[in-house]
Amino acid sequence: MRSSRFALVFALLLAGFLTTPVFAATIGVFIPGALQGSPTYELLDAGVRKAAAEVPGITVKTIEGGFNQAQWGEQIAALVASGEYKWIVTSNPAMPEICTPVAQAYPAQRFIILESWSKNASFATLSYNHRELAFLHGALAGLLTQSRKGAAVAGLVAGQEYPDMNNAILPGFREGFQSILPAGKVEFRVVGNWYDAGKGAELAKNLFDQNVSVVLPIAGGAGQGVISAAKQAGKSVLWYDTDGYALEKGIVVGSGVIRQDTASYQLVKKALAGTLEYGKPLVVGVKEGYLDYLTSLPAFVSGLPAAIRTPFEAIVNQFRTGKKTLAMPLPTS
Amino acid sequence: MNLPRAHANPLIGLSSTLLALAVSLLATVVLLVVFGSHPLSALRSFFVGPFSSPLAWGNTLNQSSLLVLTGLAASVAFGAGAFNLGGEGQVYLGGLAALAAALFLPPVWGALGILAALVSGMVAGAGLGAVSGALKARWQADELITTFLLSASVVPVVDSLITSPLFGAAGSFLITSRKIPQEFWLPGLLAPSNLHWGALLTLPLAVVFGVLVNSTPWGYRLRLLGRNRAFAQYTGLSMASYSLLPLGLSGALHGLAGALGVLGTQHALVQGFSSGWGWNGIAVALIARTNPWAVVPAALLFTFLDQASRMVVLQGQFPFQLSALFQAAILFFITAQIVRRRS
Repeated sequence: MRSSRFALVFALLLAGFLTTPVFAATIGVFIPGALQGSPTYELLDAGVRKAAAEVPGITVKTIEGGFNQAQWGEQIAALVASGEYKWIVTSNPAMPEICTPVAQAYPAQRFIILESWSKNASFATLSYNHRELAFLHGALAGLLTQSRKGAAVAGLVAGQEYPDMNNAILPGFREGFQSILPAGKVEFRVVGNWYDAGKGAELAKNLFDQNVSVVLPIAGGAGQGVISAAKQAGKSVLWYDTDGYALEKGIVVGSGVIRQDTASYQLVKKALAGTLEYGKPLVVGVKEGYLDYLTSLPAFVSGLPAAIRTPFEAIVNQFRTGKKTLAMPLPTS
Repeated sequence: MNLPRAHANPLIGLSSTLLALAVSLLATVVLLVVFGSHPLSALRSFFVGPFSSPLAWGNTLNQSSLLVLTGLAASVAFGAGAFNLGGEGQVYLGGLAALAAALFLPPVWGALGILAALVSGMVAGAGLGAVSGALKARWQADELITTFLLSASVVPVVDSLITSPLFGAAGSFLITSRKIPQEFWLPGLLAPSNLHWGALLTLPLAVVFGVLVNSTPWGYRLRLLGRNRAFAQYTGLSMASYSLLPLGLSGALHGLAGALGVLGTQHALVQGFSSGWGWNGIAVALIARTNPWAVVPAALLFTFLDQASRMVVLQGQFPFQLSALFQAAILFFITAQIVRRRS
């Protein structure tokens, strides 16, 4: 009798446990990396949450995928298979490639993928015109090099080679540099990963030893090594897509910005309103306000002489007003 | 060096291992309840998540099958008194060799090509393991150091080869090789999970190793070597071949795991695809107390714990490092009871 009562209580508890609803959310933000310490992903998350907060009943969960890209596909599949999310929002050029097999297996699932380009009917993608932003960095590097009378060479240190780097950023940086110094050269170095600050410092030191005045790192955590090397050598660094002036005052003399929060906010808002178009990739640039150069911040104004700032601001304004635009090279498929 | 091995009384060994697992599970539950914003939901994800859908089942079984291989690999080496810490590199190199075979063999080879790629993976892993064995046989170099150092050197070399013109995928944003021809893909099971037919290979392999190690003269000599190297030498065992063999065999099993990862799961060599398989194989071997028969349940258990903690992370309540923390807690209790018994 006692044992049957115990069994009944256990069965009831188990049934209750198994039917406990998983706490529900409408939007899953998948971070291919870690949220904390990554301004790009923090902005992505902030934009999604801002849009969700404007619509009652919409909840958001943020899931960190960690740094092993080989595991992202399995994680995305598990998120989708849970059936919990109407939209998965993420950001990384590799995500369409990773999400495609998942979208094939779960055709009803919708993905919003920033910093990427795909015509897949399950994806709403938005890519940034990196050629324009890289051009601006190149132009500032040219003006700096010209004023310092260093070697007509600028450095670009990348975490790895990838299509946007090879097809848009490196050519854009070179175009910008050569728009000031037509015979100028860009030395391109690759760290091989996105975290090795020691290797980043080593590559940058080598460039500075060759009388390079300024280096643009696009190398994740390895960028900190480039800053350290620049500090030691008394040279300058440009920071690519988030406000980097505070990273090392006087060393980071120029900073671009990609307004990831604005992009995620706009796309999620459209998705919630039912007006987001899938399978029609968007490309946005400086004119649209998603990319810009942080020229009004005190660190920029105090860090550079007017002889550099004035012509550079004129170039930036040409892009802002749409007088100058550059085409972003896009995948053919 | 003292190495873990099956307890003289298997029941005592089993009960202390189960106790350690129970304590670590309890610690995990406490962590979930204390730090989770929705503890019940987190507990449900932990205990039910790995079996909640065909996808979850398939991924759990696939991961277990790989851990059976790396667990067997570690067990074979441990059982023979050799500490193979180079599993990570052996898996990775095995994956690269299988990739090379699959990319450069004509696709019309079909099943024969799959076999050739699997064997290539095994040979590559075995070769790397055997180098440490040879260093030990010739110069008494400690295999604990050489396997680890060789593995640590191989991983970045393979990483650089992945994106080289020889293997690299043009136009991909991932750090990956190009895909192998579909003719060499191991057929999938329980779509859309990662499980494939190759995973079924691991069960007969575990049986074969169980019989080899526990019921043959060769296995007896290996175990003798593991328990008392000096005594084994006095009995006339060839130290040179018995330094080479366990590490070579261990490397071959690691290499096979890498090859299965490429042919069955990723269909390419994605950087980091095998991250943790070598180390987790050691954990599985420790849980199994180096007994090949116990490796299968130990791998299943370890995979359940790993997938369960991942499911909790996917709940969005915890940072992704939590799954590593859970595994660390489990390993801590398992290894603590081994150390306690030794002392």
